[in-house]
Amino acid sequence: MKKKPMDYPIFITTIILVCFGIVMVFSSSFYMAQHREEIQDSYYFLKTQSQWAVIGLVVMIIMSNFGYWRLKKYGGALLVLGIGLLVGVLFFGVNLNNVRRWYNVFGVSVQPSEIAKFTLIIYLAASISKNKDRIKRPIAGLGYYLLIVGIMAGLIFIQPNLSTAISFVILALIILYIGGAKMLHFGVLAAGGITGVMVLLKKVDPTDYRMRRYLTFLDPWVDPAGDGFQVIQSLYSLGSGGLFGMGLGQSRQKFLFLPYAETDFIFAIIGEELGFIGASLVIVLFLILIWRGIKIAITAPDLFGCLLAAGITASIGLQTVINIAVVTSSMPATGLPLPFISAGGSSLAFFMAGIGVLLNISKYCEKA
Amino acid sequence: MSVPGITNRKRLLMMLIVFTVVLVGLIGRLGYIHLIWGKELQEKAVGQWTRDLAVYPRRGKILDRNGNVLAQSGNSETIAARPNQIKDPKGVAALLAPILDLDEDKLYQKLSDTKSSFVWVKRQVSRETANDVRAFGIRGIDFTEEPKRYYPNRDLASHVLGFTMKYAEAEDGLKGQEGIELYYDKYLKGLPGKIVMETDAKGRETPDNVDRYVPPINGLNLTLTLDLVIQHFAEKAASDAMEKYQAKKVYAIVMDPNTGEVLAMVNRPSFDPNDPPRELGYEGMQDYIKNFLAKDNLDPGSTFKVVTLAAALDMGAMTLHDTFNCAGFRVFDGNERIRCHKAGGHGHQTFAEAVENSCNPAFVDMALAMGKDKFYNYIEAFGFGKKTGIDISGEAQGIVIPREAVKTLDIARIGFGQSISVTPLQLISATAAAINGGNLMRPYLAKALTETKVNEETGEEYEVLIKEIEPQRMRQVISGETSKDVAKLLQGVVDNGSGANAYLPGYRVGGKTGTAQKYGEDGRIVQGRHVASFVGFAPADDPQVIVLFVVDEPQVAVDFGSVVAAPYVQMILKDTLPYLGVEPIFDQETTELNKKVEVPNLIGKNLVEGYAILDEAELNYLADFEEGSGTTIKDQMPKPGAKVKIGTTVLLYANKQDSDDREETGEVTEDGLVIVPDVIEKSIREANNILTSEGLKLKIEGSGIATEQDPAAGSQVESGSEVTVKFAIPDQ
Repeated sequence: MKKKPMDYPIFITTIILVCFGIVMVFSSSFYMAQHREEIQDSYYFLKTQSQWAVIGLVVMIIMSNFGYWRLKKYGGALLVLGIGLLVGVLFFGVNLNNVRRWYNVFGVSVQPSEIAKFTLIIYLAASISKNKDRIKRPIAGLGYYLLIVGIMAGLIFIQPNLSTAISFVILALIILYIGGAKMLHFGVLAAGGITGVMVLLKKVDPTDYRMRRYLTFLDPWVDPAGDGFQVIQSLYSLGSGGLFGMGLGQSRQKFLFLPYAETDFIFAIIGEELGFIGASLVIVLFLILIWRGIKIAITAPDLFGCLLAAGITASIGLQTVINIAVVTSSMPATGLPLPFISAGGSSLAFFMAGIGVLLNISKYCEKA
Repeated sequence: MSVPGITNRKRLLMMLIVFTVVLVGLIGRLGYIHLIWGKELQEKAVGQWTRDLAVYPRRGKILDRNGNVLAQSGNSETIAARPNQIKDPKGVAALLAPILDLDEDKLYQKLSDTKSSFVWVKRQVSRETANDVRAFGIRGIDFTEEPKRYYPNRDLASHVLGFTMKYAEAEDGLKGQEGIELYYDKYLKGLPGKIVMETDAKGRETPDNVDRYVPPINGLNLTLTLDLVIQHFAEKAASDAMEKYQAKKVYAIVMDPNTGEVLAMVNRPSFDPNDPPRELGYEGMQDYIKNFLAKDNLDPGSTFKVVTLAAALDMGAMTLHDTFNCAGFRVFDGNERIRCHKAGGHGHQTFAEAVENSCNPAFVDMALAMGKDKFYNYIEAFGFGKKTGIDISGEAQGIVIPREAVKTLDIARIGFGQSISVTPLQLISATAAAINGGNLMRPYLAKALTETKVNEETGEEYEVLIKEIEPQRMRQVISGETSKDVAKLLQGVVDNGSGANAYLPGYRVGGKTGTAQKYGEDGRIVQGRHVASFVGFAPADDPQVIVLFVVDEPQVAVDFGSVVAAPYVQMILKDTLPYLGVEPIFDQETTELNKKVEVPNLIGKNLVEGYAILDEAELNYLADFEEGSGTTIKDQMPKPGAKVKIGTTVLLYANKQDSDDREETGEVTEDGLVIVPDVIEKSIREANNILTSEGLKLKIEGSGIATEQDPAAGSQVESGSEVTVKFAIPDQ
């Protein structure tokens, strides 16, 4: 295959986002890091995030030079690995308040769902592209894939981690949709899904505390000290930012008012310090990434590359949308970090690896 | 190798569109939060970013009318802690507990409660103690200056001043809880300043915080109408009466009758506002801290007759030339019967005599002559049934039977001060109006508000007058002419009648006694419990000062206002008049009144005879038995032979036992002989006092201390006999 230069807009956008992320992680975390009993080091998150960014950069460059088609033959093995890790974490994961989501690998926490997500993307892309017509079959095709997705999502659900499980399913549906599943089947699926949800909703007592919890985003002030707390603090951050923000490093909410300011709610600090303009620019950067990623998928030389690019792009886009929606109190709170920006080492490295794969595919695209 | 088909590409485009739409939608949402909702959100956010440290204002001083300090504020140190900044609560507790005299375990619990960002360690400690703790330089231990209220005169005028809440709260500074401190709290307290500090969620100062200081505005100083000196006079009299009579309560008020300015206000029992009896609880404390002068409803008794008298004269229902007949009771409405306090009645009396005798039937006649509506108009005009408007919170308003419900019997009784309830303050205000020319003045305590300013060049403090409170005339109640007559009649009460004990040589004193019954919780009269009162003023022809003295449940058998309360009004007037620059004038009128007469011996006589003899001697009389003029007088007070002023009341007892209770030394035998008391080792003056009080005469031989007496102590002699006592200067 003819080789072309990689897609620079994606590369540059990614580098900008990662660098910007390091700055924001430092800004939002230094006070907390200084005062946290077990850290007491203002630069702690700056250091770890920078280290991971370097690791991520190396992995990205490696992946951008690693022929993506070679991944195709490992699809099945990777799937088994992904499922294995998900099963293993239930037994060997770090137990935190009866929740097992992470492995502790030499002091580094790794989320198996993170790895499983990429193995699923690769497996689905590989399997669908092997036999273009299989996915059109309701049972042996779509049904089979959904079974695999269901098993993985189910394993994540019992960690328990409902929000990641749901995003997992949505990501899989996007790939299956791009991969050519029949709209009729989707229709039936959707009808079934809607009926299921309706039945569930009927059973659920609307005053049940879990139900209320999911609905606090509609009016967080119903329970300002409890479920509404994070969202209210997030809104305070954004609201204080105004049009231009309070200036880089000038957030007040990071003085322990806003929980998870350096991870899940880092976007609120961005809004507070850089205002509506800064926050919107970050969204625009993600839009550029999504646009270039989909462009690569469309122009990919083969279906595997196409679906792989689509899957990676979708996972970035999906997580961005969910994170920002949560921060702006537009959907129920979940625990998903903002790609490239939130502190959290392994996540950054995996996303950069994904970008590396995208860049590699871009080198073989038909048209620049 | 399969290639992406047209479907794949179309769907990818669809994915791009959906993501774009969703993300643009989120930009819209963001815009709404940032730009439209933002202001409101930011305001709420700012509230949690800052902590205000209140800076206490200085509470204003309370001064008497001459600028003497009655209440002022000082600072005391208070030690606080921020538990989340204390590294070693155990060690700190062990270190501080002994110095601060605190329980170590409790202190440890406080200091280790890292959930709270601020706790008091100990409030209001001495500066030395605070410095000792400061010397340790413990991180997380803070010092603040907390204001404390000082009342340098302790219990003087404590019921007027009131006190402040136990501790100053940061938001408010010192806060008034009772009395003037409460009533004028908003002027006295000032406005707290603050230090605004940016903090993190746990209350710790943020790294780039710059404190913003808003200085406090100090409270205004309040000058009262009280006069420290007159207050002292009244306090002294009240303490004396309280001790002498073992009374339940004693209260006194001294007022300027022309302006309504309260010059002194005393309640007993008392308390020290520096340390109010909080341990008794709110209810228990009331007995000590309540200003009963404004808050007690009492039956006025005869003192109310001033009102009846003034009203009857003013409306013309009566004239000074009217006369009364008193047979000891009055029957009206066919069968309603009201008794006079004097058994057998006062007989035929002129108007002035009826007032001097405080004759109940005469006042019934006056009340009935006016009729319900006219009398009620006056009662209302004199301010009864309504608050006087004095600057005391929680003033009572007395109880007046509603006009629609009042019966003739009630009107008759109100005429001599029953069937109506008044506050002592209403009573003195109304009396003042009756004698000051007819003007009802609002009684008041606050005279002026001033602000302490500092001269920026010299640093000297000076006072700026903010507001002066002027006397407030509520209304003209009676005419000036009537008022003159009333004052004159009341002077007669002191000169010739039941008020003789308030007589002051050289002054024209007017006044009226009162002895009111007390009602139990069941609403029935309680036997043997009375409220003795006297309202007096001077000079009667130009009143400068008016005094009301009330003794609630005096523990003596003779508990009439004339005996119990009048001497104290005299005592207060005697001190106050010269202090106010009112000098005694010994003209013919006042000198003649000073003439003394000897008390005749009435023992063994019957009542009617006794009355006649006393009338002859220009003395008044009061008997402890009412009916049956044939009863024999067994004892009298003062004793026969004693020299007293004209008009003094002689008490007559039908029962010997009674008088024994009353007189500690006095002993009179069955047949009217006096038992000679022991005067050995007494001085000449003491011996004279003892003997004259028994109706005996002293014949002095020598000088010094009594060594011999003849007749000997214990022997029985005729009243008025001479006792020869030898005095000698002791060897040592």
